[in-house]
Amino acid sequence: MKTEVISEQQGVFLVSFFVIGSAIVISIGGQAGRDVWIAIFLGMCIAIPLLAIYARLHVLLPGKDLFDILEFALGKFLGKIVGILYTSFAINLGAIVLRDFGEFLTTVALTETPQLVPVAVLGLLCAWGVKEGIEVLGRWSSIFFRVVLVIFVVTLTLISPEIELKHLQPFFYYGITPVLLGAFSTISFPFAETIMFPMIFATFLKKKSPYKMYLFGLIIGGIILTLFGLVEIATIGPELYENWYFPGYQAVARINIRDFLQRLEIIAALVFLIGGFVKTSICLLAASRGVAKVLGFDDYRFITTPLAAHMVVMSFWLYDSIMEMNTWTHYVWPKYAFPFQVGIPVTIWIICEIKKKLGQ
Amino acid sequence: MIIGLILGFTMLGVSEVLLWQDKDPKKIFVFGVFMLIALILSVLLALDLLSPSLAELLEKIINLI
Repeated sequence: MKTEVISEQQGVFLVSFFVIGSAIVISIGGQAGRDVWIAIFLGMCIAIPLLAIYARLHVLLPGKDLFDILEFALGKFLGKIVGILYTSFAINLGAIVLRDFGEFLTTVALTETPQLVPVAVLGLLCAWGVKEGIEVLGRWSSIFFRVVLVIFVVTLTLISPEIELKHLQPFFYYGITPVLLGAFSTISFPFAETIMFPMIFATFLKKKSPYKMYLFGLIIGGIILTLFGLVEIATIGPELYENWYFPGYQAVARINIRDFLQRLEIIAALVFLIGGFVKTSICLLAASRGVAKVLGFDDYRFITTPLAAHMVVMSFWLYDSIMEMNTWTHYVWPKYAFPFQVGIPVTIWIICEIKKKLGQ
Repeated sequence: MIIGLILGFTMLGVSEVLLWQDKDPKKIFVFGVFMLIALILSVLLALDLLSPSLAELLEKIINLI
């Protein structure tokens, strides 16, 4: 497969974008109630060793992506089987992000538009982005991450008059258990979803680059989500945070500067649009590389369009309603994603360490 | 709607393959198979034959394991 390399900075921005992605408007760690921001921060801290393991896999086997690593650790046959499972996981995650995007747009903005229109348009856009390759996506991210940062700072500044600190207190009112539950749910969505990156990264500029990309990307994305969670709770309160499907959007909708500067919720929609594009593109890229590797092709671009079509179709097959989407995201997804995000990566890491020690 | 889906997928598939520089038969075959699966899924979805939802199916499988 043709070698594609991106700079450390572009990698950091891609990981950060991926982490922020859909989590910026969908409620995460809702189990923690008013302590959701603590749960997000804790989730980020717990995810650090996990992402260090993903990075370690690249350092142990330079020039290899997750599919090669699976074959190295588990053997050719089992490696290919697990590779197929990871490919289907990538398609599924991409479809979930597309559906989140479609539900969001048709719920808050384009209420009369059929959901197929925004979903299909985003799907085609992602297919185009993926065909251009990871290098183009990296450059695109490095430009747009700055735009998102500016939007984030401006939003936080403008929303500050709406903040009521009483919403945040008392801390740990229901004990530590809900916070831990919230923290663990934020690991599966969105932090450990970064398992998509070992599928698309293979070659790095420096040996230590994987650690920098994964860990800095996680920390930047995690801090943005923590701050945004804090502001959301302080603005709309824990009850509304748990009950609304898109609390981030609703919180930004509260901005009203002297009846002059208002209806700025489109800013949250813009960030979600940009993040959703990056996240879906990464999933599509991972799935395309997976199919190409499993079937023994040297290029992945030819399969991108059919896989994008799969994602679009699957996004409609996924859920019957937005309620089912919400329940699935918070209660079923962590169980479904656990083997892909934690179980298999930790197992293959241990196997790779042993095999490397034994000099195989 | 179904005719539209079939036409849409066929046009998308054919125009994409026509644009390829390298017309490797293997690639065209794999491309065609994946496109056909996507088309069949979309037709089944349009006819409301894909029930229960994927989330429900996965949930059942997870609960079984």
